[in-house]
Amino acid sequence: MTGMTRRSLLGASVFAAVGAATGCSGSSSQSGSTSGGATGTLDWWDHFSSFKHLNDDWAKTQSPSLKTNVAHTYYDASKATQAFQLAHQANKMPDVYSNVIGLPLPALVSGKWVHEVTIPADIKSKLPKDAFTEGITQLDGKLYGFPMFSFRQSSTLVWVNKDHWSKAGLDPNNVPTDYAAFKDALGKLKSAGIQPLTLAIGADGGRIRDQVDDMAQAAGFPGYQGLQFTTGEYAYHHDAYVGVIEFLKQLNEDKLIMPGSNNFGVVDARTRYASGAVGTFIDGIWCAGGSKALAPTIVDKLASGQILVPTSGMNPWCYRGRPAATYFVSADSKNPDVAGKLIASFMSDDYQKGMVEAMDQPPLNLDLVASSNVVDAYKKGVEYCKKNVFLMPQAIVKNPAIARVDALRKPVTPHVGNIVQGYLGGSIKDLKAELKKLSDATSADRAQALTKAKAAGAKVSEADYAFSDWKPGQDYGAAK
Amino acid sequence: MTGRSVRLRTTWIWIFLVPTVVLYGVYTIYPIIASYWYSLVEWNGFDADQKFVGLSNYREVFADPLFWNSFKVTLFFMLLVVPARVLLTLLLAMVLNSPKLPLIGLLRSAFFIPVVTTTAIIGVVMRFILDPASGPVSTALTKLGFGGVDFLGDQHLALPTAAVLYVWKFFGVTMIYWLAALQTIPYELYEAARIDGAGTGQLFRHITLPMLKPFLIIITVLTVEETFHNFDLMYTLTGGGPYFHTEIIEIYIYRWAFAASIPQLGHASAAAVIFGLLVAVVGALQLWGVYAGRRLRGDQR
Repeated sequence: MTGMTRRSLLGASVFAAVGAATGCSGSSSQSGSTSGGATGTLDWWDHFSSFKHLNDDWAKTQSPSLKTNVAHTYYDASKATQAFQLAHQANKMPDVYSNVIGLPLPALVSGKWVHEVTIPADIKSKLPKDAFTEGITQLDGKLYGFPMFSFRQSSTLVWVNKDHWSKAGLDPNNVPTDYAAFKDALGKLKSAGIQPLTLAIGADGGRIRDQVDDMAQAAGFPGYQGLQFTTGEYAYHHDAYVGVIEFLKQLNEDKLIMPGSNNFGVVDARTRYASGAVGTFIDGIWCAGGSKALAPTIVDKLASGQILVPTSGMNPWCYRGRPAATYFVSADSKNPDVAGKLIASFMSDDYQKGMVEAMDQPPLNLDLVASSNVVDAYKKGVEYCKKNVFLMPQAIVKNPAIARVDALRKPVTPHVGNIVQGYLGGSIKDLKAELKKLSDATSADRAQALTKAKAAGAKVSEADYAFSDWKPGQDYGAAK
Repeated sequence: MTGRSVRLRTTWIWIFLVPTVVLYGVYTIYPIIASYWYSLVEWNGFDADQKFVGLSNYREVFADPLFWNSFKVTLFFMLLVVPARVLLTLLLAMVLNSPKLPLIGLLRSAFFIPVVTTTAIIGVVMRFILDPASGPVSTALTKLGFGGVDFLGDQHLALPTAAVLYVWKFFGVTMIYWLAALQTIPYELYEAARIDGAGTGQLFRHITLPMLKPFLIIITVLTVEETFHNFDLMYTLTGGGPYFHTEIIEIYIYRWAFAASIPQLGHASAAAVIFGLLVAVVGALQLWGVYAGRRLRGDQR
């Protein structure tokens, strides 16, 4: 019998290592998605932290009725984009995934990210007509998904801790609405030895950017994210923006904002609020669900107020666009019909009830909230949104070809959130000049995207962004 | 040796090299080449289309003040960190090299523990420790009457604070380099000098320092290169803030590649290529350092 020599053993090891290495790299033809029908599994990924338990349970309950094993995976929103990038390049996309990629629908369709979906008639009848928009949820008449959340929501409500406010002699059920009264209330919290307010100013500044955009609207800016509806021109240097940021600067200089907020991401700030370390937090309508997930005991201490306005009596009106699809079916899905049925099941009464109880973004049918078993602070926030958040005009609705321009837009930095961080921290001295630079840079970016889109054959123009017939305090172009 | 056996031996050499060549090729060479290609295209990483745009991404990177800001921050961070790391660790290594010091093994391990701790975890934990509202450092400072200090949120303090933490985190690595270098100095030299009446200062000036000169060059160049790769600590500590005051080039690249709503991989790759060239210059210095070190050691012999 001939034994294995040292050399032959090492040689075999080398071949095994090479085999493993080449096996790992794999070719695309071998590594196509095995989800869907191939193995009887339907993969479902999303980034909704408040719905994690709801969706885990829903996957289990839907598996028998869909006759396939529904596997739900939650991804942190900040990591989801990278996960999808890698999955798409490796042909490992899940069958159903949440809309976190950020590309306009035409780019998703041309990039083979999404599959057309068919929604049963009974589900379609539950959805408002505004839920289907050419260029946003459908393209050339083909439907690629539907929104599950109402556009009547806000990132910028005032959330207070009832115990802290009561201790400071303030009424938590009557949160001030104007800047001066709010600042006085924060001063009383400070006098009572309570950290008055926190905001998520840090990380990439994305949350404070959204909040300053909202507060500028409530302060009278007739547009969205610097873009004026009637003229179609960018005006971040509008007095409304300057006023909002100066107000935040005042709060900071009077030491009414919790130290460290300049470096806080959303979760950092919300954790301080949920743990009772601070009396007030400006956050979205989803703060109730998000805080509950972090510290369940906060639920009994939650109270809320509307978005702040500069002076008492001003209308706290805000404007948002038509919502995009919440979920997509992957173009690679081996079982798009079943994937479509899973998405349709999210409109069932049971799932909608679970959604409302998670107190995240409100559902399409806001009336479900009033009759639900959720805290009053959440109901109050939804009620504010229902009355004060309106549908805004959008270039992409006027001309779906604008999606080709959107796909060519590039990030403009520093954005409003960065500017707030820089101004509060002392890096920026001339606020108005910095905002003017942002207006100019954003206009220049749109111009380059328009030029490229036109060169590629898109019929678009700057006029697509102007809506001379827009009126404040109304839904623009809502379906009758 | 016959021609057949030479061929066989060469074949075996190549067979043993294959795993390294394959893995190095796939995980190092390919990404470098790919990033050069990506720097010449406009691509968001999602779309199948990669539009060739020539040097346009480079032009945009060079025209972006925030790129130059990140370049400046990276170099300033290096200037803060390298002298502290190289000189302080030399002093500590000299103390820990003393055969008379008790608990020498324990002390060396203690200084090395931060090196083996995950950098991102250190970043997260330090954010709690340095929290200006409730962290233990600020609480202690407040009790001493100084008030809470926002170490990571203040535009003037954030980078120096990150530098101090970086030096502490990697102190042990440089210390080990120095310990190894110190142990190359023959003990007999010190003994002979002491017999001749040399004091501690003279020993350091006339024996330790000249003998360590070749190592000083190599260790400095290695440390300079290491400070360019600090993404994990800086990202978890400050994310590049406040207002880009700690945005090193690696965070700048990450922001364009992954944090943008529509990622700009072309722009990020162009910045990465320029950053790579900077590192390559330092790498060339490193080679020169190794060469100069060898020459110096040769002269000393």
